[in-house]
Formats: sequence, structure tokens, C-alpha cells
Amino acid sequence: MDDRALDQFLNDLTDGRDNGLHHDVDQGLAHAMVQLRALGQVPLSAPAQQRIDRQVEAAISYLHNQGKDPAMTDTAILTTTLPGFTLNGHVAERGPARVTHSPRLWRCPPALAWLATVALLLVTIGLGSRSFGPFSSGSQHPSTVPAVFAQGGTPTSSTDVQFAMTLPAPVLPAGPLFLWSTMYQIEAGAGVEYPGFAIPDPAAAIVWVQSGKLAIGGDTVLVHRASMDPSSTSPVAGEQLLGPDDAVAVELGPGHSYTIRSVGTEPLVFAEFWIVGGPEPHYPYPAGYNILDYFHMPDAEGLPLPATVTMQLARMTLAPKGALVPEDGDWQVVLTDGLHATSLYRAWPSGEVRSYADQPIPIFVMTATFTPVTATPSAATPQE
Amino acid sequence: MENGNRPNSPNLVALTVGDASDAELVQQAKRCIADFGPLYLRYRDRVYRYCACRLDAGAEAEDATSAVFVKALAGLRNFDDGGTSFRPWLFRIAHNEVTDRHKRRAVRPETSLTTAMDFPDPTSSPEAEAETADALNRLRILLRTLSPRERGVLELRLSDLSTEEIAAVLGISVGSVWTAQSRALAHVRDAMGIASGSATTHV
Repeated sequence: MDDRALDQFLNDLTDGRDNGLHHDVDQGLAHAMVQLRALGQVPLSAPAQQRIDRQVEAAISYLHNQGKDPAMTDTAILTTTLPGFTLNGHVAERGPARVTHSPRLWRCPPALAWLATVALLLVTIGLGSRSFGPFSSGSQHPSTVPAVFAQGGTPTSSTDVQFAMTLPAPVLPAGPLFLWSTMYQIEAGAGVEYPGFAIPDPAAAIVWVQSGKLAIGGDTVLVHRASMDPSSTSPVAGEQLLGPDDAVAVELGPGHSYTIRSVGTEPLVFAEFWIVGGPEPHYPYPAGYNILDYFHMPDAEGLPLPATVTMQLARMTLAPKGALVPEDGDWQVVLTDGLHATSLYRAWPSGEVRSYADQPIPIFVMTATFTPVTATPSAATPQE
Repeated sequence: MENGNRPNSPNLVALTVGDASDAELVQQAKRCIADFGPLYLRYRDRVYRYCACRLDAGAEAEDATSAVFVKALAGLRNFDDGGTSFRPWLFRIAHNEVTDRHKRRAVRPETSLTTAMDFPDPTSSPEAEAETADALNRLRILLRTLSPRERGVLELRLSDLSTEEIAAVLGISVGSVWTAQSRALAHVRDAMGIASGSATTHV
């Protein structure tokens, strides 16, 4: 085998100069490479392209604006590890740098401000790997992830809707939890099986309607009514009808299946927040769903004991340049509508959210409280 | 041009890549970060394909792609293109990004190979999406049979990097690239059931 000839062939192929001639290479190898290239032509779908564009575009825009006005954000709140960057692309951790509600960061020399800004951007798109510690291991009291905590001085305002739903089921197993949240729009009259795919792990979910009319069939656990008359039942047996700000809690996982229909005259816009008791799943999105916004958090919580969950949802307005920061060790999941997703940065895994918009942004915030399910005495294992 | 005729986001649509060299575009972007757009558009699809090839989920490939470009933005000010060209530098960032993500996921079980595309494209038919997912799965299966070095070389080859660029990204010699790609392709050829053929001579 002539490695040099093969290399020349591959370079020509890369440069688009291959004409099938003048290559003293094994044609089996050449054919294999051509086949591999064909398999690797993964098209970037339009929705995926838009999401990536939004992220990078916002980063460019923010850095550009930052360079023009380094003192723009006196309300900056950043609690993270400040990374340094090397030319080989690795992120070199330089230890924790805590900047809490201090304008000092933005008065640093430009290079440091630049690094700090980029650190924030990186964190918000998912860089970093950290799991929260377990909640009060061994405690007989409910472990609490406090409701939304607005940092002092943060220009967050007006909580419009807030409710909590305590799900008696499922019991989430001990171990890592995965949080999955998405805001969808589906056209009037469309209906889909929900979720339309098998879920191997128990999952608690709330489905919350922002606008439109939703009919959901299946074994709903709880229903929260904010707008619809409870008597306005669906003509389809077993279906619940939900209107704006109504929500339903459902148990997902093995053996559970639901249907969702958009039964209003306008498109249905709804959010779903899932807490999955298992490793990071990879779920497909049902066809016909237009994704307006999404945010997922692997390993958001590690349960030391099986637990049930109370999920709280709040609708808020995030003020221009505002931030919503959970307390240390806590997390939140924040969604917004499709118009404003590009203006929000969300840190992982805390879910800290910041707005870089000049206008108020509607946000939908989910937090959770876990209640350990204690083992029966006969099943209990003596502890040292 | 990588982005073809697909529409871009409004703020990017006015940007044109043109025939400017990477070095010229880098200099523009270093003078004004708002001019990073053409570089981004030039390499967006390629970096996404590279990430999609190495990461299972479409959503994670998206996140990784975003992270690569934000890291590139971070490092651009210190990037010295006197000795290193932009493309291998960018793909080194991409290589490290997906490697880091694999390390972070190491504690979790391997995920299914059947979830190539998480997000449906309303402009694409289900059949086309299924074909894409199937092709990507087959590619991943083939690549996973290779050694890490062989796989790394082929993945960068599929991203249209040259021998010298691959060597720069992986920090190995050109000769090592030659050896790795020859062995990798021989393995893939056999795995695909393609017969070993005699070399063609000048036709």
C-alpha cells in the first residue's frame, strides 16, 4: 500500500480536485473513502441552523457591544469559574472567581473583561460539568430546592402566575435526574401521541398552556385550572381540556402514553417541563411540533433516595439587562418564547438566566422540591 | 461556500463570505469582532458535521457547534495566524470540545445510535430525515471500530482538512497521519465489504 499516493488522493478529494485519474491507490480504499464522505454529509437542518446562528450571533453582538461600552452592566452577576483560554482550544480552569453584583468586572482592563464575558457566554451554552450535591442525605424532611430566588438588586419584576403541583407519582429513583424543558407551538387541529416514544425511566412532567386550547388524553395526575371552566370537558372520554395558564401534571415512563390535540382555532403554544429519573435521554421531537425554545440540564440533581416531586411554575417578566440567579447549589429551568430566546443566556447546570435585551422578556421558570420516599422498616438497611 | 442557499439569521444574512482568505477574514474579525460572521458562515456547517459525527444527539451537536465558535471568539484576539492557519486552529477547538463532552458523559451509559437527529426539519421529509439519520448511524458504527487515532484522522478528513492540518490538530506527524488513514481506510473497506482492488494507473 502506498501511503503517499493515498494521501495525495485524499488531499485532492478534499480540495475537489479529484477526477478519478492519476492515483496509484487501491480502488477499494478510494471507494471506501468516497462512501464514508457520502455518509458524512449530514445536512444542518434549518431549525438547527437557526438555533446555532442565534447563539453565535448573540455572542458576537454581545461581545461587540461589550467592547463599545465596557461599563454597560453594573448589575452583572456572575458566579462561575473563570476559564482561561489557550490557543489549542482547551479551557484552562484558573480557579473560582466569584463576582457578585459588582461593577468591578466591567471596569477591568479590556482583555480581562473580554475573558470574563466569554466565560459567561461559554457557561451559558453548556460548558462545564458539575453535578449538584445530594440533598440532605438521610434527612427525613423534604429536601427543598427553593423557589425562584431573585438576586438583590436584580431588575426582575412581576410574577404573573405561579402554582405548584405535588405529584404523588412517579417515584423518581435515587441517582441523577435529567431536566428537559421545551416550548412548542403546534397548529390548530393537529394531534399527536404524547410523547410518541418509549420512555425507559420514570419521569414527572407538567404541561402548561400559554395560548390556544389543548386536549390531553391519558392518566393525568393533577390538573391546575387558571382559565378554563372545569366543566368544559372534552367530548372525547378521558380527555382534559386546557386553556391559557392551565396546566396538567402527568406521569411518564414505562407503561404510560398520552395524546395531545390542539383543539382551538389558533395555534397551541405550550411548555413542558420533565424531570426524568435516569441518565440523559435522547428523545426525538414529534413531527409537527415547532420548537420555540428549549433548555435541558443533565445531572441537575442527584437523589440519594427515591423521591416524589413538587414542581412549581412561575411566569415572570425579566427586565432589560436583568438576571435571575438561583441560590448557590440550587437550580432553575427557564424558558421564553420564540421571539426572545436569542436574548437569553442560560447557565448550565444552575439555570441562571441573563437578558441582554433592551426590552422586558417574558420567562417561564420551573423549580422543584423533592420529598424522599423512605424505605419500609423491614427493607431498611442499618446505617453505621 | 458552505452555507449554500439556505437562509441565515437576519443579522447574518447581510454578511458575505466572498473569496477572502481565512487570514484576511481573521484580521477583519480581530479589528472588529462584529466581522466574525463571514468566518462563522464559512465553517458553520463543517464544524456541525464534525460535531454531529462524534456526538450522538442533534441537540448536543448544536450546543457543541455553538461552543466551538464562542471559544473561537474568545481566543481570536490572541490567535496568531502568522504560524497557524485558522482552519486547523478551529478544528482543534472542535476536537477538544467533543472530546471534553465525551469525557463528561463517560459516567453515563452509551446512548443509542438511533437518535441521529433530535430536531425535525419542517422543510425536510421524514424519509429524508430517516435516510440522513441512518447514514450518520452507519458512519458512526464504522468509525467506532477504529482506534482513537485512526478515527480522529478520518473524522478530520471527512471535514475536508488536509494532511498537514490534521497533523496540526491532532499534534502528530504527517507520517503518522499517512499511516493512520491508510490503516483506517483498509479497516473501513473491509467492514463495508468492499473488495481490495488493484491500483489504477494513469488512465
